[in-house]
Amino acid sequence: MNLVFALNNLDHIKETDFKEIIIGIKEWSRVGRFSLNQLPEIIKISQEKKCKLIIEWDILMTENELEKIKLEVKPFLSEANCVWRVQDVGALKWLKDQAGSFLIQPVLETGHHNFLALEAHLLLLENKLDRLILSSEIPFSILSSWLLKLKVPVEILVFGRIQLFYSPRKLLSPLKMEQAHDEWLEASGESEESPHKGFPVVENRHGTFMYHIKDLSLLTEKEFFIANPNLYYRVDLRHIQYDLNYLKKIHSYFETFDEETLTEIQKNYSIDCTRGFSRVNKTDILFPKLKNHRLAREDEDYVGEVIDVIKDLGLVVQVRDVDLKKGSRLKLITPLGKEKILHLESLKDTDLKEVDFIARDHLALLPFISGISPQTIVRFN
Amino acid sequence: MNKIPELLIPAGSLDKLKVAYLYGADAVYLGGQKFGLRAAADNFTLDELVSAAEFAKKLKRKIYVVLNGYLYDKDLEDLPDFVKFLEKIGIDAVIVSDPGVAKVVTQFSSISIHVSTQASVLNASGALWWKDLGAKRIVLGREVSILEASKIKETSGLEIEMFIHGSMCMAFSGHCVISNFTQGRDSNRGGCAHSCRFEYSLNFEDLQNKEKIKAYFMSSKDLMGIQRLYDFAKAGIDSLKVEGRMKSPLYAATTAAIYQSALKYLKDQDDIYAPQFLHWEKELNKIPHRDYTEASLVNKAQEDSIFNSRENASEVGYEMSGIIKEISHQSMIIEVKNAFNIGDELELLDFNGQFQKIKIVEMTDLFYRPVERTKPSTLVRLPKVPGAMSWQLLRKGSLV
Repeated sequence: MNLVFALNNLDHIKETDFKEIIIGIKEWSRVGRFSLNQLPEIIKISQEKKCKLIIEWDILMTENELEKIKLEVKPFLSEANCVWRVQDVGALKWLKDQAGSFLIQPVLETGHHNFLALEAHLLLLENKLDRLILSSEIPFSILSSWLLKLKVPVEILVFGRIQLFYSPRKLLSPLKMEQAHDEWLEASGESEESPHKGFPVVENRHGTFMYHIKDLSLLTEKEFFIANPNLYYRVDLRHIQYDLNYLKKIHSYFETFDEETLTEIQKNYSIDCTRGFSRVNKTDILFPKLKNHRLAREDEDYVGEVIDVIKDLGLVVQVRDVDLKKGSRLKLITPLGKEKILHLESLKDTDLKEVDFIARDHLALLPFISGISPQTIVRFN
Repeated sequence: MNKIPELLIPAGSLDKLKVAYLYGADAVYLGGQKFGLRAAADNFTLDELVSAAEFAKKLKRKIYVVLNGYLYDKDLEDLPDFVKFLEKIGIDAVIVSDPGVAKVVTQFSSISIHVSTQASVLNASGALWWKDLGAKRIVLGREVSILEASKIKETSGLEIEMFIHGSMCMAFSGHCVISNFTQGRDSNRGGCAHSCRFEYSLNFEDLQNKEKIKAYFMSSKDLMGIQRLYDFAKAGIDSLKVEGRMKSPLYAATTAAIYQSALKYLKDQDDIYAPQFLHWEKELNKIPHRDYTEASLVNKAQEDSIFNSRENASEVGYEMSGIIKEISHQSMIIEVKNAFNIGDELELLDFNGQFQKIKIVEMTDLFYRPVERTKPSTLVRLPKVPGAMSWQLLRKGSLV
């Protein structure tokens, strides 16, 4: 199994024998804690260990910010074992256009829910692509169908924090009556909207991040892992005081998938976990319920809608894209679904004069029918 | 001033589209029934899209359709036919945020591609990435300053569009999935539950024994960039976008009329003098809004861009009383949106953004029966006033 661990402790980097690790430089990474001046030492250590070093450059940058960071990044592009993990498409494009044999891992965790979107990156990055980093919102069923077609390596998060929100603005320091600064500030939030408590909120030099109260854990999905041994599985526990031995235990679990090891891992993890959308993603099923479908205009035979009802005297209809003629047979459908049929024997304009037709985009006065309310749809029957 | 930006207004329905154009929009953007980000808007049916395109062409204005949801493979199945349909009826551009959608558009049509703010393009290299995918215009993220936008335009050679007015997300566009996990509604497929607008109780690690701090800390003020109009034009920005497909016709009318007046003034005078802003800002204050900010148009948005208040807390703002549906010899027929009474003073907003006060001294229903107090979703007759035209809006309120 291909496991990728994110580390934020220099001692752990020195001790580890993982084949590849992710590190975050705080100037370039959302959650990284290493400073830029530590990078040469980290590179040296990883080269000595023959370890692939994935450098996280996953912040979003406006023009001025990107120009500044390009100058910082450029000297490191020639380092042999370094791979660049980026989310900003500007960073992606710039890296792609730089000379050198380094490779790129585009972070496609935002959007990219269809195969054509992935292909766009394959085509643009060509032989500079190392691996695609995919979204946790993609259920396994969709991921599996993609894996049949993808000829490049793919990585998913299997154990770690779920980011919900990323803002460039510093939102915590004003609450503490502090000047905004570049250091790390943490809080736990509870919304009046949701019954959940304890959303982790972090502010640092790059802005403010909010996370899910539960971490993502797919460790129980061993059938999927066994069926997809070529996938890369990421473990990112940088938000807790993790122990290197704990990560090694996770690594060994992926070699054997034995239940005892899994139980031990779960027992020693204090944060509640969720499988997220790995089995199913139903987040768009609510959409049809957002509107009254009876008010939805269906184009065929559509005349218009009732905009006023004057009891015993008449119904006023906004005629839309057709001319309405006297003698037409109409069906009226109320917002509650009641239907009435009307043979239009009388038709008046807003001067209350009897007419043979009302032109499109005008108001028509129809005879009164009881049980009809404004917003009733009018169609030819 | 050599080039004045296009004014782009949201059209959440066919009626709002007509109002937007009549009040001065150079272009509008709207959504079809599928593929967009606003599931709750009155999105356009196919026939309505045809009507919309016809109306736009008659007035020689532009029309753009959003395809900016994050689409799955199954969603893309219907997209080719829809794109071909849009091209056939003369839509000028589609607004996309997904590279897969861009691929479908280029494969099945030659419609221009505008890249949505949802894609969070914030720099010239990002613009060039999308240029490689066939984009003609970039709608920059709201984190980009006007000066940076100018550099992006120069480097990329693409058209650049920026937001000038309306609600803002606190997060980078496309980088908020709060409602996905808390409400089961995908915020990037039309289901955003506005989780950022709620009050949060926050417990800081180092303040364990103190009371929680309550705040609307993720709620942003609304953008109003009218004072930067000259800077936008000087920077060569091609289009100025107003946010708000879900907002009222009065919002569409006011923003269209005021920003268009300001652009015309800039074109004629080549500059804008400070006193002019007072009038325009006063009018923009008449539409319901959160407190205004310039956000990151000049400098990065700071803590004064946070709207630390409950929604609708403000009592400022006018409400839409009604819309003129038809004019006859003696009367104007008004479709009432919010009730008003005999004795009330309304304002009739003309298409140039000027208003005339109308004191309601008499009104009847359609059958000439006297009415003392109107009800929403009814029609009333008012005596015709000079200059009144169909589709003009009536409003009521005060700024005090």
